[in-house]
Amino acid sequence: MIPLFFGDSKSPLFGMLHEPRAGQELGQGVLMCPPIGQEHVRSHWAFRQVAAALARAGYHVLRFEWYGVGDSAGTLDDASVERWVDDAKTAAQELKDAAGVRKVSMLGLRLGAPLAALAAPSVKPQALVLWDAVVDGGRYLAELRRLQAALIADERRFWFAWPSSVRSTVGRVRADVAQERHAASDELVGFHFRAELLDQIAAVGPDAYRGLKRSRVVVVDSPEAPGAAELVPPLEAAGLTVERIVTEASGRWADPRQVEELLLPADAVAAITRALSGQGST
Amino acid sequence: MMIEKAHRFGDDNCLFGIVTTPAEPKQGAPAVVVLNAGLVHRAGPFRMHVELARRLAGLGFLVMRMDQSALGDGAPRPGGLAYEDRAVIDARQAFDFLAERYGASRFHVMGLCAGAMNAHRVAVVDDRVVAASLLDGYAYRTTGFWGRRAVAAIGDPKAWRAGARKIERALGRSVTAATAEADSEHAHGETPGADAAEIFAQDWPPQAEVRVELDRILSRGTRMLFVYTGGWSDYIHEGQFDEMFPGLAGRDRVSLRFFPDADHTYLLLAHREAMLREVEAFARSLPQAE
Repeated sequence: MIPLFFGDSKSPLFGMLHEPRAGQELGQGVLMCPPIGQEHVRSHWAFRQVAAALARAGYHVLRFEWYGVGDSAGTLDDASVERWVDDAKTAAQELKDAAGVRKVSMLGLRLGAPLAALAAPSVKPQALVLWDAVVDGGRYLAELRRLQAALIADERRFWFAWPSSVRSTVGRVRADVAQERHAASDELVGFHFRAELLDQIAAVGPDAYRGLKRSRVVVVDSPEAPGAAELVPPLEAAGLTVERIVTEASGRWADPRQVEELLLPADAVAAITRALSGQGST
Repeated sequence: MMIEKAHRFGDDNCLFGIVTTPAEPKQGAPAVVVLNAGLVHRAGPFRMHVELARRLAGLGFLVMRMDQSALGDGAPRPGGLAYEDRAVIDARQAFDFLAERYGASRFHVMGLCAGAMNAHRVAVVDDRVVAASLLDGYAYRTTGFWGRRAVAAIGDPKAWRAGARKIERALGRSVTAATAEADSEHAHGETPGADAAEIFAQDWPPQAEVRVELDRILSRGTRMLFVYTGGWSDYIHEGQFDEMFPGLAGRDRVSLRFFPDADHTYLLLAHREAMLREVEAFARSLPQAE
């Protein structure tokens, strides 16, 4: 693994390059596009596992982080969907330059999927793997809002010595000593989202995937989160051949009890490696 | 301009860290090393460690947020060492690296949860640690803890129901064996840390032993910040610290803060901001090297 800071030196992006062993190179790259926010934190380990497996299979792999995400510069306060799409283009070029490859495929998880798809007309990936893809940005944000509400109401997370009935009574009399669990309206699962960014994410829809006409498309999802399967009909209607893989790896993204559990990639590692090699799908 | 650099270091380059170099370094200030919070990679829960590193660098501190061996982008460390022993070696090799590459000689080590226990462990054995910030570290259930908890339970119908369920389980069936088996399946293979179960199954040292260690750390001149949250179920009242470690909170090298409203990993931004300000104030208060 080779860590890289790349792009604009004033606001660099972070990436980790996984190289294949000498003599085993396929001469192809894979750009891994992560989720944002806490979903990114949860998926770091899974991304590392997938990247390592792809490198063992002969690919040059760059898993990078969007502006305002992970070790890249900035915060979500300065991020925008447009900027993230540019980040994917910059990262694809970095992968080509660093690894000396011309052919690149892309893999996007959750919001990383539509962002990768939006960059695809420029990057021209050979294949695009859409893993637990966000298809409707508005619904994705609604899911985050429900998650936020459930987390704030969770007595185990916000355990406090007073029972809730006592707390609410004390809160009426002495608000300064009652437990406070207030979140700003633009705060979602541990991160602040500007109104403009929320609007941009809400505007992400199935149209984001329109530019994939020249790529192989592989949709990966799990029985517990089959939402991305709804992506298949519109893509097929647009004339694309779509392969679908159902894995056991489930982030249970909407489950408040899972919000700090790492995504374990389970069989997704082998399934994604096979899919990118053009072997095996359902 | 604040600059961040990525480094692999340690035995066989098994460790990984991002070093944030301040634009205007504070002369004589200790370098900060942020340890992993449980299994979470160096960014920390809700990217907290990135925010922390950049804010402390903004105050002039050199900061490394690191991945210990077998966590995040760290590689497994050979030798079959226990998690606790590995964690101490990992942190000390981070100190060695920062000394060699950045000229640091004094360190402020910090961590949340398992990271706090590890910060404590390395502070015990390494004289280069001049400050330690422990977020939801060791907590022991004191008589006061049980008393307050009982009072809370009496007034809470939810607690009655939970108690009834416990009794029912105790009388009826045992679920622990099945749970332990399921947990052990997750302890291998693709689970980060390769020994994740070990991290959460750590036996805390006896309270008296921790007290002796704290006295040893403090007698050396090391400053300590203890931050606890209401989300840390073993700690429920500010006075509990004095019950656990009598006389310690009053010492001038010890800072203590309890955020009863906050959860264990600071989900809410207002709670996180309060914690970050506490850590910043503590870091600013540290004496500079001559």
